Amino acid sequence: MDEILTRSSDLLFAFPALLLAILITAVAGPGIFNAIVAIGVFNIPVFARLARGGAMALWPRDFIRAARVAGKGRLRISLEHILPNIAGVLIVQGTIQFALGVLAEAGLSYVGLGTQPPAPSWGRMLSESQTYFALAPWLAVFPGLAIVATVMGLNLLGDGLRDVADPRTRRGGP
Amino acid sequence: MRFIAWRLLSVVLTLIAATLVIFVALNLAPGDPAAFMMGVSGDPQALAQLRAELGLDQPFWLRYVAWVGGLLTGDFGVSYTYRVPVADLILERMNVTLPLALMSMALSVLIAVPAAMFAAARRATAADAAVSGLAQIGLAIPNFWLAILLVFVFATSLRWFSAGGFPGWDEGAWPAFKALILPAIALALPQAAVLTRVTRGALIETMSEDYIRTARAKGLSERRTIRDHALRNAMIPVLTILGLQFTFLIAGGVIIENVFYLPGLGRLVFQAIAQRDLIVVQGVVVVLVLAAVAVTLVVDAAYAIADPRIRSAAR
Repeated sequence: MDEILTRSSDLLFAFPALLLAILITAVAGPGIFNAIVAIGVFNIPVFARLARGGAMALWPRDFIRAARVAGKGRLRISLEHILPNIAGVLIVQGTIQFALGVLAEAGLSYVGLGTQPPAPSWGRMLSESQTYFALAPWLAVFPGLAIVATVMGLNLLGDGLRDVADPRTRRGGP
Repeated sequence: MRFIAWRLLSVVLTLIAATLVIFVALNLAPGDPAAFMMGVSGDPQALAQLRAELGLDQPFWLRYVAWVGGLLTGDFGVSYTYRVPVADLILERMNVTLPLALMSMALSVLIAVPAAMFAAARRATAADAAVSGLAQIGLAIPNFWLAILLVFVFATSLRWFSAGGFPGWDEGAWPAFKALILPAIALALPQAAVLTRVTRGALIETMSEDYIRTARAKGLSERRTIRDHALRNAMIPVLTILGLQFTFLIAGGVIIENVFYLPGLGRLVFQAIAQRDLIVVQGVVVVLVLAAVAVTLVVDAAYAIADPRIRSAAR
């Protein structure tokens, strides 16, 4: 079971993420919903690996063994003891992946596979700005700045959360 | 020996699974390629004939076996729209995508490694903070936006470069190289930001090791300590990221190639999707997955070169 799940997540990892997203939207048709699915799918292996690694480190610990002795099943231990203990790591990674998701959506929308008109999207604003390039170059500047500010904010939030969750990284760590 | 055999087996299994996934996904997609090629003037008889010509009337699994069998002999099939062998198309487009990926990779390493060494040597100073801040910004910049800005500054305003297109390598190496400079910079800078962060982190981690204290104690300068001792030991995480980035650079060129109208793999797959030229899409994706798997293998081998401990453990 472990082997199957790990291998299929590795398989998903072997597909270049952006290409996978482009394939999904191309196959299923462009649109917000399909873009959401496409970006979500290539995030699966990231969280799967992280959760597996975190859980593996916890299972041999004493408090898990105590729970087993108390007669709790594997599913119940996973939900009541493992999940709360790896939630911090998952939330930190979630913030970083959110930032990557914003970048991915912008890219998909830029090539016309993400958000469809009339719904607005920073990525599409950038692609439309190229038509008026010579006249109004600032049209290309501000949507990009908005993306940079959002992504940077999310990344900094992720770094900050990591420092709160793990004080060891606080002083000049990576 | 057993380890190597196991690795090779898992590579083969990954590739089989990947071809199956690609084939199923693309053949379940709505839109009959034959109907697409015929356009609106769909005469049923001509349509049936075209389907037979393209082999689309065969059962699903038979087509899969024929396709994979062809892949093994280097026969990727014939493009529905271009009417030329897919393998030729892919090779031709590789002439753009591969040099672009290699240039961005080299540029990214040339920026990131010195920057990380500089920051690690001045840890927790203003200089270190400046490098980290720049990396933080670089991390947030979408490469296609950077591409648009570069075109505006260096092509439209300063006219140092052309805004797009590719003259081909027949016209001489320099014009082709020049056409790839702006795209390579656009791809390389955000990658360099990631690489700088990873390298700096790895360097700082190794700096607290005993052998670094020994190197300092024997009177080596901080710069030589980092260059000769820390950098080599920090290589493992750096190589991992480099491997991942190379796959990304090959596939991630899709959008950049569209900004600069470069006839690379990315644009090929994009046009093929739009024209329902499934056999081309299948071929390109297989090549990219193969590249990803191959790079992972190379990275594993590079670990052994960078770290003698892994080498002796594998024996």
